[in-house]
Formats: sequence, structure tokens, C-alpha cells
Amino acid sequence: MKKILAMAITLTMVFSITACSTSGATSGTSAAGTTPSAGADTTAAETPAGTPAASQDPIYLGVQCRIDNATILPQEGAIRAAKEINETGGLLGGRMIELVIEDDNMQADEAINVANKFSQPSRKITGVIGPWTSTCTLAVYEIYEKAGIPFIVSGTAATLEELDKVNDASYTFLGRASDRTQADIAANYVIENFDVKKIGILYETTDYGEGGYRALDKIFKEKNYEVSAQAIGYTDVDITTQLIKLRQSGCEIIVAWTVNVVVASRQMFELGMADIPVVNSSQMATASYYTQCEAAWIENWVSVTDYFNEGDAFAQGIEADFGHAAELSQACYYGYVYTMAAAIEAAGSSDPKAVRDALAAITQVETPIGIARCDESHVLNHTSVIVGFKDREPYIVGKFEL
Amino acid sequence: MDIIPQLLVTGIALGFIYCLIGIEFTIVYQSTHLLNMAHGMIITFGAYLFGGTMINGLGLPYWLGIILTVLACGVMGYAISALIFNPLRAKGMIFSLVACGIFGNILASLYLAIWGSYAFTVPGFLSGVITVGSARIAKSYTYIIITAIFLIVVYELFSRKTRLGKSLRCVAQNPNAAALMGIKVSQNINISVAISSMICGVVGILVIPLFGIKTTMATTVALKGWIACVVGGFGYLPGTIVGGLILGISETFVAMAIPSVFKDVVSFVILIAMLLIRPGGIMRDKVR
Repeated sequence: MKKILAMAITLTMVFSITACSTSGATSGTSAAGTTPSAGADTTAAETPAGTPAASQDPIYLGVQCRIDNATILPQEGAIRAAKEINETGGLLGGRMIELVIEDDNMQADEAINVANKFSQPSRKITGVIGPWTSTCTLAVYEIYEKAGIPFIVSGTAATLEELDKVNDASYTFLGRASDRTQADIAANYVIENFDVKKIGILYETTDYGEGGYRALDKIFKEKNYEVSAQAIGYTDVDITTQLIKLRQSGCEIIVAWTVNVVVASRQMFELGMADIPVVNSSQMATASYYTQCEAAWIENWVSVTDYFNEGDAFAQGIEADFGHAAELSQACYYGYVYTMAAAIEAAGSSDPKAVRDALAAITQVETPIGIARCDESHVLNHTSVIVGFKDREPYIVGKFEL
Repeated sequence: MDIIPQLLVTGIALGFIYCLIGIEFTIVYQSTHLLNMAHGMIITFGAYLFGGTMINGLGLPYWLGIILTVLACGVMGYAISALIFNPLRAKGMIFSLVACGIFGNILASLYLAIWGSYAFTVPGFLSGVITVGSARIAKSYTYIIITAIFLIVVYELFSRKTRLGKSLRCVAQNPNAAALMGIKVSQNINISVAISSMICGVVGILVIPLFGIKTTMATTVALKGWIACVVGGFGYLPGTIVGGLILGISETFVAMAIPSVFKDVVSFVILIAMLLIRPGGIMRDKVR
């Protein structure tokens, strides 16, 4: 009896591991409505008799991100965009977009696995949306460059603009303005709107946080501000000592370049620092963050972001399909799918190299995060929005076109 | 000088979180001689159930939500013990470690399926600040300290003054002798793990204002609870309390003297130092 029970427990656990596998191919849903199974070859559906096969083949776009993140669900934007495009007839005279969604868990090693999968010729991937993070982008860009597959990333670390291969022959496209650009905007907002002498910088110890800190520190020191900086881990649950040190430094405003904004805002309030203005990178403007905060915590916060939910058609679509407010992550991937689609139409084919050339020439694609136009650094988005908060409701303070 | 009360309260509150986790870890170890590596997910279950279902979902009053959540965690713990610990305890540590690890992953996926991917919180729960002189102390920290002391006292009274508590201690000391005395060892183990899980549920509820509710909320503190056990004296409850407080207070105060981003390193340095210098823990002479 015990042996049977032990065997049953073992089989149940093995089955559960398989069922709960985070392979995106089992969790993701293609926009064509079918769910690719793990490891399955996502080849085109059978073509009707008498129809040339090429005109019926789906166009495969890889989507790479973490699919179960607590605050970022970019794949939803890609799914929504693909659905809209397919409902209006698809691309290239009737070819449907089929998304192949893979979970990279925002980890470099898993991102490499995903990139290797997408790079296999049998996958017929025309272009890739993602990765989301700068770290994963740096891990995979050489794979996609070697495979000749154009990909649009959400990473914003300034190092991405300096990649050796970011030139006219490159397949790497940066979907958002870099941290350096966003830090420029944040810094200029501080300089133009606050009469202060001492500035505190709270940054996280990731490529993203460190990149933002370096850019901010350089700008403020060039303008002769006194800067005090404290580093935090992006998963830290207590940053009391960092905040106390910033308070002791006498800083009159804090620039927070971190995703850990809920902990930061709460503990600033608890330590009596809620009256210190805070300029944050994009996180606090995201509903999944500010809804975790109380109004009193964020009354003096502003956020520099690429996207603000104004209830437009995209936002309504996300709300309808997924039951929650649209946010930056969905807006980015939604915009990237449309940009990639525009490039495919312009190229007149789904050949990755032709699509890459068309992406490099993109000048006017309307997306929720602004008009996509490719500059010499392969940066596509050049719009930023500054968002403030009143009674925990966000509102636009200003918009910047770069 | 007003930073010292703030640092002290923060350190003590974090220390009590670590010691509560260490206590529930110790209870399982004492009764089964196995490690419950799924305890982080049980803490998370307590938070999700209370925040996601009881309060945000059903709109129950806090007191009722707490009672139901704690009872549900107890049921979960009983089931874990009946399905994993009791069948596997004779086979050795590695089997239960693997089983708990896998079970933890299954639970994480279940939480995402039930409550969704987005992090959330219980608005206004344990929020606010108490002003003592010029120092501001978060109410959530004071609730944690009071609740932790209350739980420790209640558990000590239960284990020393009640028949069930004494039988649980007998099983922990010597399961064979306990069986010979007519104590149902398996059932007592199930009850021990259930009690441990109920403590996990309380921890999950208490840390909602600090960590928010998400699947990774308990990852770091669960590890530090284990460190608290080792530092204080593995398998000895008072040692766990001492270990937790040492960790919490050390982290907070040392982080003022060193770059604060290395605060977590303090716990690991203490762990390594303890393993090298005094592997049995601070109260090793008391460990049976």
C-alpha cells in the first residue's frame, strides 16, 4: 500500500511539473488562436488545395519575456496587437501573424535558451519581440545577429546604444529611449522645476539602475549639484538604512532609479520623508505599482515614463481581453508588433533580412509609446511623459519629444 | 539620535519575522527530523488567501479573515505532512527536500492561476505610523513584535501545559518511545506540521504591508528564518528566537556602518562564522 502511495505521489509530482512547466510554448497563445505545444514545430497550417503555399503561410514572430511577472506582462500587448492585425486581414495579402511566446524568466541563461530556439531555421521566425530587460538583451544579441533575425528590445541600459554591432548592418533595435535619455529628461525636470542644491539618488544594483545612476550623477555634477547616492537591491524588502543615510545627507529631492518603488515610497512615508519630492523612472506610473501605494506615500512623486494610460483604444482593448488596466509593458510590446508588421509590409516579404532593412528605414508608425522612427542608433521611440499623482490618481505633468 | 529607536524597532521587527519562520521550521524539524523547504510557499499562501480572497475578494472583517486563513494554512500543513512528511520520513532527508521543493513550485504556479500574476496588497492594512518623541515607528513593525511575542508565549504554554503539547514534545524527543507509550506518532507529526503551517499563515498576513503579495514575497525571509535556526541552535526554540533577533538587529545596525546594499550579506557572514566557530549555534549547550 505504501509503495503504491509513494508511486502515486511521485507520478503526480512529475505530472504536475510537466503541466506547470514555464515553457512559453505551453503558456503562450498564438494570435491565430492556437496554443503551440512545448517543443512543437510551429509550422504553417495545411494550405487549401489550389492555393499557393506562400500566400497562406503564417508569419511567425517570436515573443520573449517573463510571462508570469508580478508587475510586467508584456506578452499581453503582443497578443492584442497580433489579434488586431489578423482581424483586419493580416499582412502581405492575407498572411496571419502567429506569435511564438517563450518565457525567459528575465534571466540571462534562459533568455539564451529562448534565443537559440528562435534562431533555429525550422522555426521560421521572421522577427522577435523582446527580451524585456537589458541584461537579457546583452546575453542574446549576438545569437540573433548571427542568425540574422531582427529583434526589438525593451532594455534601456545605455550600454545597448554602445553595442559594437549597432550600426546599419545590425539586427538589434531598441524599442525605448535609453536610460541615459530618460535620465536626461529626469535630471532636466529637476533642474528646471526645483530650486535645490543637494540631490539624492536611490538606484538599484542592476544594469538598469546603475546605468541610470551614472547618467544622473554625471549630469548633476556637471551642474555643480551636491549628490548623495544610495544603492538598493531591486528585491530588498527593507531600505531603512539607505533612506536614513539620504536623509542625513540633507538631500532636498530624490531621484529614484529603481523598480522597488512601493517599498521606497512606504518607508519614506514611515520615516517622515514623504515631503521630499521624488522623481522616479517609469515604474511608479505603472498601475500595478501605484495601486499598491497609499495616496500619502506618493503625493510628491513624479514618474518619467514612455506610456500613460489615457483610456485610448489600445488601453480599452487590453482591459477587454485581459481584465486589467493597460500598462507600459503591454504598450511597448503592442507597439513593437505593429512596428515589426509595418516593416514586413514595407519589405514586401517575411525574409528577416528584408524586414531588418525596412525596420532601419521606419519613420512613422503610431504606437501607444509614441511615433516609432528609427534613428542612427536603432532607437525607435523618442517620446517621454512625466506623470504626477493626486490622491493616488496619475495625471500628465508634461510630454517630451526627443 | 532619533534614528536609533527607528533602527532598533526595524531590527527587532525583522528579527521577529525571522524567528517566527525559524520557529515553524524548528517545529517541523523537531517532530520529523526533516526540513520543510516549502514553508516559504505556505507563508505566501497565507498572504494570498487573506489578501486576495478573504479581504479583497469577500470583504470579510480582518479578524474573521485572519482566523479562516490561519485555519486553512493548518489544513494545508496537515495535508503536506500526511502526503509528504509521514510517507517519506523513514527514507531520509533528500526525499523530503526534493518533494518539498517540487511542491513549492507547484504551489507557486497555483497561486498565479488563482490570483493572477500582478502583485497587490490589502489597502490600509496595518498601515500608519506611531510617533514616539522625535522617532516615527511604523505600526506594522509594532504589530509584528506584539504578535510574535504573543505567539511564542502561547506556543510555549501549549507545549508545556497541555496534553497535546506534551505528546508533541514526546514525539519530538523520541518517536519510538512515544509510540511505545501509546502516542500516535504519525498523527502527532501531522498536528506539528499543521501548527507550523498556521504560524506560516500568521507570518504571511503580518508581512503583507512590508512585502506586498506576490509569489516571491517570502523567498529571502524564508532563507533567513533558516539561518536564524542555525545561528541560534538548530532544533532549539529559544535558540531560534535569539538567532532571529541577532540577525535582524545586526543587519540593520551594521548596514548603517557599511554600504547598505550589502545588508543581506551580514546574515550570510554571521551564518558562515557560526558554522566555523560554533556550529551548534549560540545556544548549542541547550540543544538536545
